[in-house]
Amino acid sequence: MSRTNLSDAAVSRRSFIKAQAVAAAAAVAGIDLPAKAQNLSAGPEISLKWSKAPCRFCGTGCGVMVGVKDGRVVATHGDMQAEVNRGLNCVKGYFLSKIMYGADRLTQPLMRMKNGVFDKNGDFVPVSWDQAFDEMARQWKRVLKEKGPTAVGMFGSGQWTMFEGYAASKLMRAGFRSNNLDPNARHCMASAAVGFIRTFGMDEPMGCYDDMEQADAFVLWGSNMAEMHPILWTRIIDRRLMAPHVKIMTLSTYEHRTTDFSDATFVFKPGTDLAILNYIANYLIQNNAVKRDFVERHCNVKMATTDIGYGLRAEHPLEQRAKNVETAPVMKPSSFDEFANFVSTYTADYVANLTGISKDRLEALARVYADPKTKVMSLWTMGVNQHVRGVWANQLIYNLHLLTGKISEPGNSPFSLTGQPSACGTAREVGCFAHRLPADLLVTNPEHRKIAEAIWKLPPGLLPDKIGYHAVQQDRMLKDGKLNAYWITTNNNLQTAPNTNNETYPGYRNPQNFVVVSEAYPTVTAMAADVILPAAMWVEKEGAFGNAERRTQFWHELVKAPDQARSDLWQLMEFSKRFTTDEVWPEDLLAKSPEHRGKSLFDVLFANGSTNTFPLSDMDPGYDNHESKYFGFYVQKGLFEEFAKFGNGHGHDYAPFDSYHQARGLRWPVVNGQETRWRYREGMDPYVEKGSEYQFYGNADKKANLLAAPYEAPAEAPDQEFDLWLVTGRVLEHWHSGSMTMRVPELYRAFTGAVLFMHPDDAQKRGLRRGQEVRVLSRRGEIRTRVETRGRNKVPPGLVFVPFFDASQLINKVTLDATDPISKQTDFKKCAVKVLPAQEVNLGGRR
Amino acid sequence: MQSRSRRELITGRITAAPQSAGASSHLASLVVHARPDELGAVRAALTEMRGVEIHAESAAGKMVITLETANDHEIVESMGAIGELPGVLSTALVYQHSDPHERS
Repeated sequence: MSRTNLSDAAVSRRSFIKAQAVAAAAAVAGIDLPAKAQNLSAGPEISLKWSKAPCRFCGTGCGVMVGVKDGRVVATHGDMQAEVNRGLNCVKGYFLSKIMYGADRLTQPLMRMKNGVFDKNGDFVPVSWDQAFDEMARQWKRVLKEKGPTAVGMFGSGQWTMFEGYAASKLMRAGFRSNNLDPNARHCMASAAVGFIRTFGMDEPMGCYDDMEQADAFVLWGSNMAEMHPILWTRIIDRRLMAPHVKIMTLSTYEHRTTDFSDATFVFKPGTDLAILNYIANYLIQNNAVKRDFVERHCNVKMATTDIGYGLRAEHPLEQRAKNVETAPVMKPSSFDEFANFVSTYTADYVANLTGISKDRLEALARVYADPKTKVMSLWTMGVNQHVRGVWANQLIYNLHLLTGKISEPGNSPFSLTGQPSACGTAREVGCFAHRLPADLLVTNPEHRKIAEAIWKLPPGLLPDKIGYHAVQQDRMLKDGKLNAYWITTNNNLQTAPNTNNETYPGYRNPQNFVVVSEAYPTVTAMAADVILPAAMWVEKEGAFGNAERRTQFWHELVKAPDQARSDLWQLMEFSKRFTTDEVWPEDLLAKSPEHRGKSLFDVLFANGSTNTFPLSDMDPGYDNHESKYFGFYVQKGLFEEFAKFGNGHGHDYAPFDSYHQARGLRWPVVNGQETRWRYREGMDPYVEKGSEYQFYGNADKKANLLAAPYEAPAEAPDQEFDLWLVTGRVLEHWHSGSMTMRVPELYRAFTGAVLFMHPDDAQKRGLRRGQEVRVLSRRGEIRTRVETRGRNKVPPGLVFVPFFDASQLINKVTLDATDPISKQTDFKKCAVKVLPAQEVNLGGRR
Repeated sequence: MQSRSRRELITGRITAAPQSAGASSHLASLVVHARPDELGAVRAALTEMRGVEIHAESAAGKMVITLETANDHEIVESMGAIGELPGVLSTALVYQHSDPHERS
């Protein structure tokens, strides 16, 4: 098709759009355009309506301008007013306008049926929402009656809007009286969240992205930012090129795109980052680089409980052998001298030998932290969090910043990056974990439950006090038949959970269980369910995300979801109408609280005189809102303002709801209309008292915790038979399991299938050629893939890397379900495999 | 929708290649950041690429380019290829437009 066929009007439209595109890029790059390219004043009418939204993908939280024409998203550009990304988007931003329009989008509820009724062994048949909810309600009521609240559960998401997570928490905890609610964020940042709480008594970073323009050194602990957080990486590159003294130091278990542009790269043996961190702490002490007055005034010293197992099933030999599985989270009071003595064994000789990094290079790294003139930003994501000692690893990074006082000021910043758009906002702030309530409150604390019961207008004593099943435990309990009515939403757990063939899939198909999946596309998880509910996504609903720097960002509903697809918020609230308090709450509580008797869960949770406070007239008339119009009140505003009551005045302050539809996000705590960029520092954080310098006010005595914790070996390491480390992770082009990005035809072709990255020597030793089909086997299972000995990831001998986005190569059949015993987060970075050539005998006739 | 067998699920053989939505006009503007001392080489390589137009550049190594191709697929491949060019530090998207109703 040639452009000469275009009409004059089309040519004019096209050149106008192109001129706009060029002008936008030039403005973002700070480049002056030749005069001829600037003239945009007489553009033709292209009738696009532009609105702001945060990107749907990672936790960076880039601002995007979304262009809608005739009810469809046709264009996007980086939002120049967004401080996070200043007009830039990464390659995934290119697909934002396409992820909603995949050919296999789910548009109607589906249920497994035989002869017109539900049958777990039946085929998927289109049904109405009423039919789907009727069957779900029947199953939920059966399970609640037979086994009680501990047998129902929900697996949610760090991709839920904050409103959805909050509604889910209310429905599960207050409605069904079960804390079996956990987000897929358990798989990606539970260790970070627990590390924050154990160190500062409060979740989320003290600093923000502004630190990237202030730091003199960036130390990346296992993070491949160039691929995983590309826009933040551009900020670091800009800083590095503009200030030549700036250094980027990257630690990893293999080389990748980030190490290409790092000033120093440290490839260490898997798991030994703990020893490097302790070596640096020891170096700081030995070389008088500790800021003693800061440590004395603002820190307590704690000793970790050691030998804590690997979060495997209790009967696993590793758990049997471990001495302190039950007391794993306990931190004992200690002293600075004990701490110094503890880390003194992490000598340069010992650590160089353990890690494979030479002594002089270890010292060069330690000097970055030791030099009082060097402002250091430490950054990390999955390498540190998906770690059987991930909580310790987080805390040992804080040790370095606390020992040197390099914290809570511009450029001195230990910074935990996140992988999902609302891991912070939804999973953490709203509190969608099995142990959490909003604003860092805990289900096990009776005072905290009372606060929630008061805000939610519930009978006292209603909320359950036991911690629910975490993500990996949910899979185990489904398999064991103890968790029987289960709702999975906004995640693809059958592809992303560990050891899926043995621990996840059997539970979904267990005949005792009824499994519902809300999804936009037919993922492997959806296809293993009993009911599939079609979900609205991204700008098909009004939403709120919270990014990694505490920035809360809102967007409006910009387009209609296709056909029968509805938001999770609508699904959760509508489903709640099918239960009455008499059916699901105990009689003794109802007797004490007769005004709750005979009400539907919708009445007591959402039409409760709090959530339904704001009328439809409060909505922006320029935008639709399918949930609010259906339920008759401004649902999102009611949920948010109710949620905000938990944290306002307690260091978790949010701005009024409407202001978020104007601002390009605000970083909490927002006090008197002002966001907070650096927490815990006098003069920067309104919660810090005058004269105190620093206050880590999440803890009662306002001090942070230094932690003495040792290197302990990974759960599984290569041996004679399984002779290679397996590391899994993402690639730039595909986001997580590919549920959205694999639907985009262009992207599917661009990076079509996962490969096994292997060192050329390892390939040669096994007689493997580049591109050859191989089997990757562990003690759990195997996949087939192809060998790649070149390309973007350069692994050392003895280690292979396989991305997890490809549903035709489910690498999580191979991984081990070992978790950090404290955070319950899986270690997806360390298990043992062998790689064999795929034999000529091909039983299944693959592809 | 077609039902899937357990075997398909276990073997993971369920994700068929998605179908392209058909012809559409496709345009993207990008900021390409090259190492300043390799700007010339990157510029030369970009000039060779189909559908690439360089509109402006700065001494710091940033270039404003557009990508315009006959089909969607080429744009993505080009973005990937630019990212892999020696001397390119980052490739960031600024603006993209694709209107399925507008035939090109």
